[in-house]
Amino acid sequence: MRTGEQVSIVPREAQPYQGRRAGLVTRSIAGVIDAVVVVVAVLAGYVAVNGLLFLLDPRGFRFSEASPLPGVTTGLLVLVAYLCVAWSATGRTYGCHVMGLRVVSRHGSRLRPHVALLRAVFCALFPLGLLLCAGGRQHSSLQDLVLRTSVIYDWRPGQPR
Amino acid sequence: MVPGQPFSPTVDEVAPSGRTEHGLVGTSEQSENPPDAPPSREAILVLDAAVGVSVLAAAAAQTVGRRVGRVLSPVAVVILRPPILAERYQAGTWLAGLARRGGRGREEAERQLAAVLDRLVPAVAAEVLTRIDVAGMAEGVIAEVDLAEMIRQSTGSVASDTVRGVRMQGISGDEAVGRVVARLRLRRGRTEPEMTPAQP
Repeated sequence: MRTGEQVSIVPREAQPYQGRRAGLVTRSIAGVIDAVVVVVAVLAGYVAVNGLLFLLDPRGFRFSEASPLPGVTTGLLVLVAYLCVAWSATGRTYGCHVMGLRVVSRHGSRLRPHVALLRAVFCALFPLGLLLCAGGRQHSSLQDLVLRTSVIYDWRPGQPR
Repeated sequence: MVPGQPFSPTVDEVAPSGRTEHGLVGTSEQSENPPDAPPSREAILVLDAAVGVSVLAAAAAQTVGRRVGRVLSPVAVVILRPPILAERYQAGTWLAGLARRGGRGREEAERQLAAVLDRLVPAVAAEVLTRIDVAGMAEGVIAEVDLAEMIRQSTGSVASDTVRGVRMQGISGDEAVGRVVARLRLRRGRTEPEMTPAQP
């Protein structure tokens, strides 16, 4: 090791994969983790809203009715907002962080906010587009092909290089 | 090492015995007097025997000293503190005075030695440091202890062992899926030309 050489904090066994495009399994696991995060966030929001209603009117309090359509719509909105903010801010959601992934543009840089928003909407409305990344050599999902983004293995903390 | 020049170990200096960057040299000379050869078994036996004799002698001397002291202690009391003499004329009193004077002298010598060392050690250390390639030595030490791996292991921001395992399992799964898809493609590529008519 030379003095000027940078020390990589990525484990040796994972270093060959850094910067390569991630496949279906890793991305699916990250997606499931993100879905769980969103479900927990929506449930927490539901409980918080009801708690607030209880504090405002304890005597006339009743749990607000959780009908499917508003619930799913709220979940999708939260999902889109979560994905958009995470991808445009750091390039990774919590699921991506756990699985060591990062969403980058075709230049390898962080996504612009409008691209992140489009990708988030696309992913939320058509999650099956992820299956396409199992077939191609480039491991590109339908969202990646349309918006020219890619998901890479990146275990390094911080912003994309 | 040449005095006045920075110390930097060369390949020949740090290489194991009998090995240089040009290969093995001087085998006959080194077989007679190898610098790093381990001591022979007989030499170790002789050394152990000498140490054993020394330990026995020390134990015997201690036992004898204790018994002689036990016998002579009443005599010493009579000699040092004879009851027929006044206390100030007793040998014990003179010895106590000498001991006090010696103690004061020792403390003074320690003070002077500390003052000399305070002035001398920094100057000597500075001169020694100018003759040693500290950066080179530090690089050698860092290379030996594999600092990169230590940083990797101590950096909690990357991943714990569990997360690392999950990530590597995911990568393995990705590769397995990729292999299956590639095999299917290959099979389809083999069968398709049979289905289609040959191109002219």
